[in-house]
Amino acid sequence: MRVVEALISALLVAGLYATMSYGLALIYGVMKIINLANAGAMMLGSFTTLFLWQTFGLDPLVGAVIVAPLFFLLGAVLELVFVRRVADQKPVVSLLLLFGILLVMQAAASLFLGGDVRAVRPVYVQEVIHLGDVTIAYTRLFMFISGVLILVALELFLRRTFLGRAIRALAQDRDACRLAGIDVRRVSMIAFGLGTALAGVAGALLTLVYPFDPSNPFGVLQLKSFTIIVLGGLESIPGVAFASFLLALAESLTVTLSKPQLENLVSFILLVLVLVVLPGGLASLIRRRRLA
Amino acid sequence: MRRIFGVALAATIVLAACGGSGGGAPGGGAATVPDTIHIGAALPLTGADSTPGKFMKDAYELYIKQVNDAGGLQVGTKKVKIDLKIEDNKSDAATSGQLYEKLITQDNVDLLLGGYNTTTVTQEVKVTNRYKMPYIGGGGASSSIYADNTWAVGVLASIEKLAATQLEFIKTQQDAGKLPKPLKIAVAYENTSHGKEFTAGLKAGETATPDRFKIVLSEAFDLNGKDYTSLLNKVKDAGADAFMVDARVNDYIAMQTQYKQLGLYHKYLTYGPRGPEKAARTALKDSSDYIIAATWFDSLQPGGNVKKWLETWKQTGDSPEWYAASAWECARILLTAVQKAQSVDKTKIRDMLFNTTWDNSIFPGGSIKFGKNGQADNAYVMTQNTPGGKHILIWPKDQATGTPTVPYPQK
Repeated sequence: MRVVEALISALLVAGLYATMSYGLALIYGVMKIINLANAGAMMLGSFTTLFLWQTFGLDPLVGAVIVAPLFFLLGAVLELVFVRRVADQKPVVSLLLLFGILLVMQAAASLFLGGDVRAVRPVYVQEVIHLGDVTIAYTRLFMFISGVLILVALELFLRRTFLGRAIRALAQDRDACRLAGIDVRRVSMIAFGLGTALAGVAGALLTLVYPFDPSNPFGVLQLKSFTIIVLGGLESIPGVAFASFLLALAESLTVTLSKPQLENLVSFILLVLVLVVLPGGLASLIRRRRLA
Repeated sequence: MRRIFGVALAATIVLAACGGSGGGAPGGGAATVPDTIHIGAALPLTGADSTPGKFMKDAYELYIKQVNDAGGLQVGTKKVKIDLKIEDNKSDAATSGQLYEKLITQDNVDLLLGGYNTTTVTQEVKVTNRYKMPYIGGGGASSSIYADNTWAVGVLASIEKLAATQLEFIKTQQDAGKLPKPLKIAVAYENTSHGKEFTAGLKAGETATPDRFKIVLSEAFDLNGKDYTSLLNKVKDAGADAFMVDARVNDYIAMQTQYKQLGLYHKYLTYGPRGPEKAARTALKDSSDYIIAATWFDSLQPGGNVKKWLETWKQTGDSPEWYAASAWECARILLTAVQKAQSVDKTKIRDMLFNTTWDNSIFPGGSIKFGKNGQADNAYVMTQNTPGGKHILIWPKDQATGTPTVPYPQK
């Protein structure tokens, strides 16, 4: 029974992990930069959701819909003003720039919003569904469903629209895109905006489950996004979803069969192993199989 | 002319020898009373512990403002001004240690007031002992802080005592037929000396009275973990009657949120010293109702000193949290020690701190006496949150302001 519970728990946690990681993967795919400010955008997304809930009584699920365009604009402005200037320089420059932006976001939030832990508590926050011995919280279920919906919407956008195809093309070959007449700068700005919007939405949805604060909004969870995008293959959105499930399952089974304290250790051992043994992630494994 | 020069030179040498408060080497014993006494502290004004940090800052500043507004501290026949220098340790233990070192060696402060949380205070106490500086802390309760300590004192009683107090309360509920015997306990504790001492206290209770207590699960968790689903699933499987946790405020809020979301239920639920804090009640709302806490101070305690302090504290606009009360006590005791020693001689003040019973306290019992290791051993009070963001005092029995709701009500 505990294994069934572990599987269900892994599935629900996977929805959460995937939601946190889509933005990171999208931006890396298109711009080949690791957006360290992703955690900052998530934190600001959470605080915006808190504001919408406290001021207008908006549920975080509705708040996420408002957060998305706001954070798209924030991301586009960040790309236009900062990221674009260092896009062609060594990766470490963009890494440090975005780390700096993260620190500015955290310090500003701490200064203006205070250091207290906050929480959003919609009416259903304590409601649960019992499936035999397994208990599922509404909040986690909503988070999972949102994760799946975002995956489907993102895949449809990337595969069925001209802009989405341009983003995918940019992820594959930047120079070829220029030759084909794609406005690389504009598409990069849109991709960064989209990635930031996804981070903001993740922050909004995470308020359903976790309290948060400006200095360390979601703790070690943020770092797990890196394990997920490396495992998923850095650029693949379905890869991110699958990697999220694999990581959540590995953690869940470890905890079930051993100690809860090993959960984070498993995550980061996996990160090291994948970087050494399978640097292209699961996506490269699938590509190799197809070629063979 | 030469004679005048000689007198001036001699006077300069004498003045230099007497020096100001910062004239002596750190840890030295300059016994004269200066015009101003410099006190230093490093507090978590930003970062994870910024809420208690702000309260402690307000308490230190308010106490010292009152002293200065009254013309200064009466030391012997002299009125002395108090200068307080507070640094931000950013909720980081290593930074705090460095800041205390800076306060001693560069800012040449005379005395030290302590910071917040066990890990940080441990660093501070190490520095204090290295430089032989009097220090009084109100933000760390683990006994491990005071290992090999001879210069620091702390007003918070030990965490083992906190656990023992909770067990004493539980015994009364068992005897009243409200909790089963033996009580099956699932323990979760932060992976620090604070958490380990809490667990040790519970295990000592189990060993002493196996007919009353049985620990069925004991799991550590990392600080700032955020997701406690796996741990809570294990707790659920343990089939315990009681869930007893030792956690910091942020972890308490995160864990209790998820505890409710996973539909867990126990007859007895505690997060150690956490419960009635305003920040947690605001974040958790009714999810924190009926949680029981053992703490070092509560605003519902009886007594004139407490009432007087609550009246004074109102001017800060802050809620009267235990960390504000403990910081107030630290400032009060430190400055009274200077008065009693009639000196800023560090050894004299240290001896005064260790050897005096500090009456007129707002802490339980009305006085504080530091043990040989420097830690106070006052009794704990226990509270239970009630609906509407309120709470009642439930322990000690003779001071209770309401009847405890035990077992924890089912939804």
